[in-house]
Amino acid sequence: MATVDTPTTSTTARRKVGRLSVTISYAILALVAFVVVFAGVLAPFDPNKQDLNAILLPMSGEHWLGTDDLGRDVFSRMLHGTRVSVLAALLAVALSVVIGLPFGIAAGWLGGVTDLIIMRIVDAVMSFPAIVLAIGITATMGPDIITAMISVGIVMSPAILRLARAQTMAIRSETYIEAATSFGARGLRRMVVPHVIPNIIQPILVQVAVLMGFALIAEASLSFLQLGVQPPTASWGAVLSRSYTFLDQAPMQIFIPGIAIASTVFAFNIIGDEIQRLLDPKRK
Amino acid sequence: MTEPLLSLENVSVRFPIGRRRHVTAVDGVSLELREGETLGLIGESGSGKSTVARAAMGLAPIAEGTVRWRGKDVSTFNAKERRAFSEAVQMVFQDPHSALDPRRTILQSVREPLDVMGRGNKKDRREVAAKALEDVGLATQMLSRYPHQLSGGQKQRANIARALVTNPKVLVCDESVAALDVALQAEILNLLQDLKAEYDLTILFISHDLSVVSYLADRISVMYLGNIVENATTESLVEQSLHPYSEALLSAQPLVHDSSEGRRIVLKGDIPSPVSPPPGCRFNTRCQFAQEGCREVKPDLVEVLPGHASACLRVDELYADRLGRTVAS
Repeated sequence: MATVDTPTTSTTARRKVGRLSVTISYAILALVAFVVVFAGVLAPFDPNKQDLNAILLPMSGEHWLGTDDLGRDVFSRMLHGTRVSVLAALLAVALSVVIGLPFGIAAGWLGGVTDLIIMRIVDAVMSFPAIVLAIGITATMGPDIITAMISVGIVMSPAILRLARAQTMAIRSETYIEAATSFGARGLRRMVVPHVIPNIIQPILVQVAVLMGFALIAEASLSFLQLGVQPPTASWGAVLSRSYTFLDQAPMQIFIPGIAIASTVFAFNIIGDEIQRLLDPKRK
Repeated sequence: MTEPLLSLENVSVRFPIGRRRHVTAVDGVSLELREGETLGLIGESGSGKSTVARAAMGLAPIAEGTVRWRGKDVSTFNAKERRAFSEAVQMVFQDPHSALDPRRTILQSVREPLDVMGRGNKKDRREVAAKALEDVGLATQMLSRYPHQLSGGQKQRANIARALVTNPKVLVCDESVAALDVALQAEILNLLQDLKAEYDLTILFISHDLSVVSYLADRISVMYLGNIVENATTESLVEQSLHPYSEALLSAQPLVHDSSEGRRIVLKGDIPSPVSPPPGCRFNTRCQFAQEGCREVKPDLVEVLPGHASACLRVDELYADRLGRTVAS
C-alpha cells in the first residue's frame, strides 16, 4: 500500500496562518518603530498637559482614545509611552547581551575554573526572581526607569549567558574549529569573532527577540507598581497603572495599553522564530 | 640515510576519563616521515591512528615522548618556529563537511590559514587561495559558495586546497577519503598523487582501508590498540606480512581476481578497550597463534628483515619461511 505524503489542507492552512502571523508581526514592529521615532510629531496633544475640565472622556473625534483622570489625551500618552517602553526594553535587552554574550562564550570556550566561577555567579543571580530583584534595587537606588531596567537586564542576562555557553561548548569540538586550531587560529580576532560568534548567534538572536517581549512586560509590571517610570512621564505600564485605578469609571481605557503590550510581545516572539528561519545558512 | 622530516619518538597520548583514570590512546609510538615519501598508517577504529596524527600536529596532548621536526623537538619551539612548523605541516580532515565552517564561503575558508598567518595583502591571499582551488580542480564560481552548496567530493577538494595554501612540506591526511564513495575516493587519491608531485609533498596518510593505503603509500605502519605492530615497505607488507594482525587485515581485502589460495582470517570480537588493554601482547585476545607467553610479555617492535619490523613474540617460528630462516626445533 503506497501512501503518498501530500500536504493536507490542514498543513497548508497552518502554513498560511504562519505566514500571515509573520506578516502581521512585521507590520506591528514596523508600526512600533515608526511611533518610537515620530511620537513627538504624531501626538496631537502634549502628553502631560492636564485639563481637569475634561477628565475620563470616552473615545471621540478630538480625543481618539479618550482622556485619563487628569484630562490628559490617552492617544498622545500612548504614543509617547511607546517610545519610553520600547527604549526601556531595548536598554534591558542590550545590557543582558553585553553581559551574557562575552561571559557565556568565555565560560563555554575556556571551561575549567573560568566556567566554574562564572556559572556560580549566574546561579546566584538566577536565584532572585526578576521583579523582586528590581524592586530591591529600585528600593535602594530610588524608583527610576533606568535603574529598574538595568536590574531587569542583569536578571535576564543569565538567559543569554547560558545559551551562549551551551552553544559554544557544542561547537568547540567541531572539526572546523580543530582545523582552524591546526593552522594557528586562536584568540578573539581569529577564532571567536570569525568562527564562534557566527555559529552560535542564531539561537541567541531568537532569545533576544523573546527577551524583548519579556522586558516590555517587565517595564509594564514595574511601572504598574510605580517602581519604573515616574509621573508624569508616560509609558505603557504607567498608562495601564493609571487606567486600572479608574477601571469602573472608564472601563475601556485599560484595553489600550493592554493591547499594545500583548500585540508587541506577540510580534517579538513570532519574529524570533522568523529570525531562526532566516539565519539558517542553508537558505543562502 | 637522511634525517627524517617529521618524527615521533615513543609518543604516548592519554586522555582523562573521570577521576584519576585515563585512557592511553597512543602508547609509545615511534614513526619517521622521510622527505618525499608517503607513509601509510593503518588500523581499525579505535586503534589510535587519528590520535597519532593529532599528536604530530600538536592538537593532542603528548604525555610522553617527543615530536621532532627536522630533528628538533617541537615542544621547545619558540613562537616563530612554531609558526613555521604549522605552516609546514597541514592536515586534511576526515569529514569534508564538518571541517568547513558552515558560515564561511569556500574562499574565506581556504584563505583563512593565510589570514591567520598574515601573509601578504588581501589581494595576494585571494590569489593564492584561488590558485590552490584551481589546483584541486574547483571552478572559480565555487569561491563564493557555502559548504552546504557543494558535493562531498568538492568539499574535500576545498579542504585539500586549504591545506595547500601555506605551501606545506607535509600533508597529514586523516581518513581523508573515508567519507566519500568509491569513485570519488579514486578521484581524490589521484588528485593527492598529482598534488604530491606538484607541491613536493611528504604525506602521512591515515586510513582503515588497506587498499587505499597500499595504492598511495611507499611504507606502511600498522597500528593496533595504540601500538605499532608492523612497519614495512608497502610491497614487503603486502607480499610477506610478518604479523598475525597485518595478515588478518590483508586477508580481509576483497580481491576481484582472487583465486582464493589464501584463507580468510576472520578476527573474532571487537578491538579491546584501551582503558583496560589486555596484558602482554595487545593482540593476544584475538590472535589465533597466541600462546601463554603472549599474555605476559609485551613484544617490542623489532627489525626482522631490512626495513621490515614486526612486534610479535613468535615472529621467528610463525614466519620462518618468509624470513628465510630455519627454526631450531
